[in-house]
Amino acid sequence: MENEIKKTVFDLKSFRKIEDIIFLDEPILTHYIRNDKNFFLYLVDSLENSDIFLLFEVEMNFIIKYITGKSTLKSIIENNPNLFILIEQDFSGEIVDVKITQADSIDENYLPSEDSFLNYNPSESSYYYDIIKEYERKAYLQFLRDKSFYIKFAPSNKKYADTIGLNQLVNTLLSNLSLSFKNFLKVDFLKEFKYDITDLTKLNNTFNKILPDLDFRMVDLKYGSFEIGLSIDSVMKNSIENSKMKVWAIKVGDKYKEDVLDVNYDEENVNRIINNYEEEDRKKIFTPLFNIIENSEINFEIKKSINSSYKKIKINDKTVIQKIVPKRTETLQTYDDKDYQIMNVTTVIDRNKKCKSIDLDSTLFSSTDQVEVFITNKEFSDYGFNIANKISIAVQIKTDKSLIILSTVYEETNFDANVTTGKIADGIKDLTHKIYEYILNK
Amino acid sequence: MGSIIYAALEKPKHKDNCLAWGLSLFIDIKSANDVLKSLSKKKNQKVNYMAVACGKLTDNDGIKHSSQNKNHYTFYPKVDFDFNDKFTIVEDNGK
Repeated sequence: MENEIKKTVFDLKSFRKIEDIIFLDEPILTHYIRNDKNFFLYLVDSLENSDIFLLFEVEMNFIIKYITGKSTLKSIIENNPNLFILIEQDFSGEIVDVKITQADSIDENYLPSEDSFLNYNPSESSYYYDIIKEYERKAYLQFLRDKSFYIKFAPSNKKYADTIGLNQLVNTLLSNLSLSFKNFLKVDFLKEFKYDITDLTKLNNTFNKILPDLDFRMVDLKYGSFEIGLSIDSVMKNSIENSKMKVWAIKVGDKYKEDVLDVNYDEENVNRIINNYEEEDRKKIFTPLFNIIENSEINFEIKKSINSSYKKIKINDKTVIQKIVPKRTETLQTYDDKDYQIMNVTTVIDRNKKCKSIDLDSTLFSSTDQVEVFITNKEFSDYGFNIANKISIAVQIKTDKSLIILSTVYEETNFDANVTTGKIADGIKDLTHKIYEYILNK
Repeated sequence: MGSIIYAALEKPKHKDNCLAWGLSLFIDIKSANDVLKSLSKKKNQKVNYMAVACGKLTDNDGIKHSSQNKNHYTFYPKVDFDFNDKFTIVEDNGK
């Protein structure tokens, strides 16, 4: 009888099954957890009445690499430093034999192929669904970080130690950097594709469509002195269908870094910038950047990767700025610094009072962009134009900064008058004169 | 395509595992070959998976059950399902 007592030499019940990773009519590779440690149970052979399994501990990061197709099952076994348990289990589920072994002693016939990669595509109910998503997110971020460059804004004044003020950061530094980059994108895009898409409206529309995909990705951040890691995504550019545009989109971020940010403003580089970009384009790209570089309160620095050293972007020779962004010397037409607004005044006056001056304190004011008045025989008569027939013409009056614009339509003919003196009466006089001439000559 | 001998019948320990009462199908040839390459040499010899067969199934052929790996399905064919009629051996695979 003693020989018939089955001795349980190993109990798989203490292992919690997570998921069958490979299933081919029966479980081939199954993930278990025991005491927070991960194990693979790998079916390596089927005898006449029993199965042979390898049970071994495996680190979670290796499991993720395996199920995301980054490593093979064979490498996970061969490079595993843990002990392996060779289990013989009969077809009813009883474990009948257990042996301890190690990776380099495992029978070669118990191993899978060299190219035992697996493309595991987890459903939402899978244990690995969130794990793989998180892994891919981190892998994407790491991929971008590996290619990123860094810029740093540090205060030159140590009053607040190394800290940067929020408003200064947002309104002065980042906004100028962003404006310079955005302008560069458009300038370079138009230069690159103006012969491919000759319709300017279509060209602009195409640019606006792909603009969101062109932005630098922020992949790292340090505060105090403000440091930011920026990277050019090449993965998500797949949404750009035009292949030439896609190649341009992948390279344009690096081009900005090399041609605009990461330059020594020596004579050779300045000449290259001048030769490559028209004056108007240079203004759009470099003026915001010079606003940062010339800000005496800030040191603007750049480094090529996380492990390299920062280099201050500075311009020792101030004539460089004049060469790249020349100031206009011609006299520009200037206007009075006036900004007219139409004001309606509503008040009540005593008809019998001889002096009809208005007390503004007792009026109702309202401002407007546009108002309609009528000019009648009286207005024509005031300016010496007598018209026999009764006349009443609606005139639109509106303002545009320092300009007052009067316009009307009389007998389907447009009349207008612009006033720069600030006196509406001048416009009424001009308008009545034009209409009177029209009446005389018709 | 898996063996027509169901694992649950051959091995009583799988009798409570619904998936072992069906046949393993894969969404594409690559997924099927990936699994063949993941089998140990011994296991591959024993079960004698020699080739991958490809076919299109409809709801009239049986029930298809999705597993947690979306590349793998378990198929429960109808009694009169004819494998030879529905599946064709794909050449140059799994060798």
